[in-house]
Amino acid sequence: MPNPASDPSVPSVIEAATLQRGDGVGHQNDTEPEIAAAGVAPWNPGQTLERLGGDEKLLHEVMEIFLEEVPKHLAGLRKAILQQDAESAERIAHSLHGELGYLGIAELSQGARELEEKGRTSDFPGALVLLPPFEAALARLLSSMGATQKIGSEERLTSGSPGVSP
Amino acid sequence: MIKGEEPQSLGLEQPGPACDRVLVAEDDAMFRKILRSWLESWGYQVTVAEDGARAWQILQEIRAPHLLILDWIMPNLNGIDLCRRVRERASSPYQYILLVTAKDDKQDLVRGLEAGADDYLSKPFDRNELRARLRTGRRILTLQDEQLKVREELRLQATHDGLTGTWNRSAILDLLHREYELAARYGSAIGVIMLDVDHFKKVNDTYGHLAGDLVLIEAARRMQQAVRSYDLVGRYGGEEFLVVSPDCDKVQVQVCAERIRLAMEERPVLAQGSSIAITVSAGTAILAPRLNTEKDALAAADTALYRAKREGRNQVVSCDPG
Repeated sequence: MPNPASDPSVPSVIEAATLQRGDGVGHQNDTEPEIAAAGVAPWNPGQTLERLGGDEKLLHEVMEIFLEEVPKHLAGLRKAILQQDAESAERIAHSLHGELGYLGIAELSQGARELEEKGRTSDFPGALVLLPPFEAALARLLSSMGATQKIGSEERLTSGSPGVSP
Repeated sequence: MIKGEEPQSLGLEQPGPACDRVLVAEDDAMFRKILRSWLESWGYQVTVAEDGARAWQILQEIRAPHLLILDWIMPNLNGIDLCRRVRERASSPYQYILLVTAKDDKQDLVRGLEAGADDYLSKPFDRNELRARLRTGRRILTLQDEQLKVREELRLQATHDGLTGTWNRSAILDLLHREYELAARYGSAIGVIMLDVDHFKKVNDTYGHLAGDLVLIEAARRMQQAVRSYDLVGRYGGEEFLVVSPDCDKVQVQVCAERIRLAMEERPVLAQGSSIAITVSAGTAILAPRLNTEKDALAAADTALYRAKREGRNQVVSCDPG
C-alpha cells in the first residue's frame, strides 16, 4: 500500500485544511496552515503530524477516532455532571484534556482541564457553568475538522489513491 | 508506517525475548491507536487492554508481557492501583511499568513512582522519548533476566550433584526432612531406600575413573526412571544413593527398590567402549513420624543395605521391624 506521506497524489490533511479555507485564512506560514475559522479554536494539523512522526495515514486514523469519540465523551460528561458523578466527570474530562492536548488544541484542552478539576472537587454548579461554552466550542471544532477530513478523503478517492477512511 | 522506516530498522537493538511483548492499558481509543501503531512499527508484539481490570486479567496469563504501559486514569481499575497490584504480587520475572498520563503535577509524578511505576511519561508524549524510555525498560528487563538465570544456575549447583544431576546429599536430607514434616501432619509414612553400586571400586580400577563416572550417571538415570514421578533420588556420597518415597508402606518401598535393582542388572552400561555389567544392593526402611525419626530410618536402611551386601549383593533387604 502506498504511504500517503510519501505519495504526492494523496492530499494531506494539511492540504485538505487549505482547500477547505480556500483563501488561506489562518495560515501561519506555507508549511503549517492552521484551522482557525471564526469562532473555531485554532488547530495546527502540521504540528500534530509532526508529533505523530510524519505519519499521514496515522493522522487520518487518529482524526477519525477523535471525531467519533468526542461526541460520546461530551454526552458522557454532560450525563456525569447532571447525575453528580464526580469520578466519571473527572475521568471523561481528563480524556478530553489529553486528546485535545495531544492534537495541540491548547485553548480547549485547558477548558477540559478546568472541567476535570471541577469533577475532582465535585464542583457541579461550577461544571455546569463551564460546560455549555466548552460544548459549543468543541462542536465548532469538530464541524471544521470533519469538513477537513471529508475533503481529504474525497480528494483521495478522486485521485484514485486508496483512502484510509471507509 | 513512517516514510523510510521499516519495522525494527532504525539501527537500534531489537527487543529481547524477555521483553518483546508490551501490554498497553489505555481507555482512550485515540492513544491506543497511536501507541499500537508506534510499538508495532518498532517490532514489539502489542496486547491492548481497554481498562485496568482487563489489563490485570491479562497479567495473570503465563506468557504475560513484561513491559507495561499503563494509563493513569482508567475505568474499573486505574493505573496507580494496577501498579500496586503488580508490585504486591512480587512476581518473578520483574515487570517494567511505564505510567503514561496527562497529569503533569510533580506530586502526581511522585505518587506514580511510589505506587511502583518505574518511569513516567506525560501526555502529550513524544514519539522518540517513548521509544527511548522503552529501550531503558528493556535494558533493565534484560539485566533482570540474566540475573534470574544466574540465580537459577546457582540454586541448581547448590542443590544438585554435578555428576549425576540428582539431588546432592544436603538437598536430599532437607527433602527427607520436609517429607517427614508433611507425613507428621497427615499421619502418613515415607519409604527410605539406601542403594550402593556393587563392586564400584573394581569398575574404577578396571575401566578407569571416566568409565566409573559414566556408570554412576547411567545408574542415576535408571533409578530416576524406575521410581514414581514424586519420589526423590539423591546421591548420598560416592557410589551410594538415597531414594525418598513419600506416602509409602513397607511392601511398596520394597517393590520400588526391587524395580531399581532390576533396572540395573537388566543390561550392561556401555562406557568408554566397554560393556560393564552393574548391580546394586539396597536396604529399605520406613519412616513413620509417630514411631521413629529421620536418623532412625536412615540408620535402619543403612543396616539393611549392609546386610544386603554381606548376603551376596544384588539384592533388596528390608529392615526389621518395618
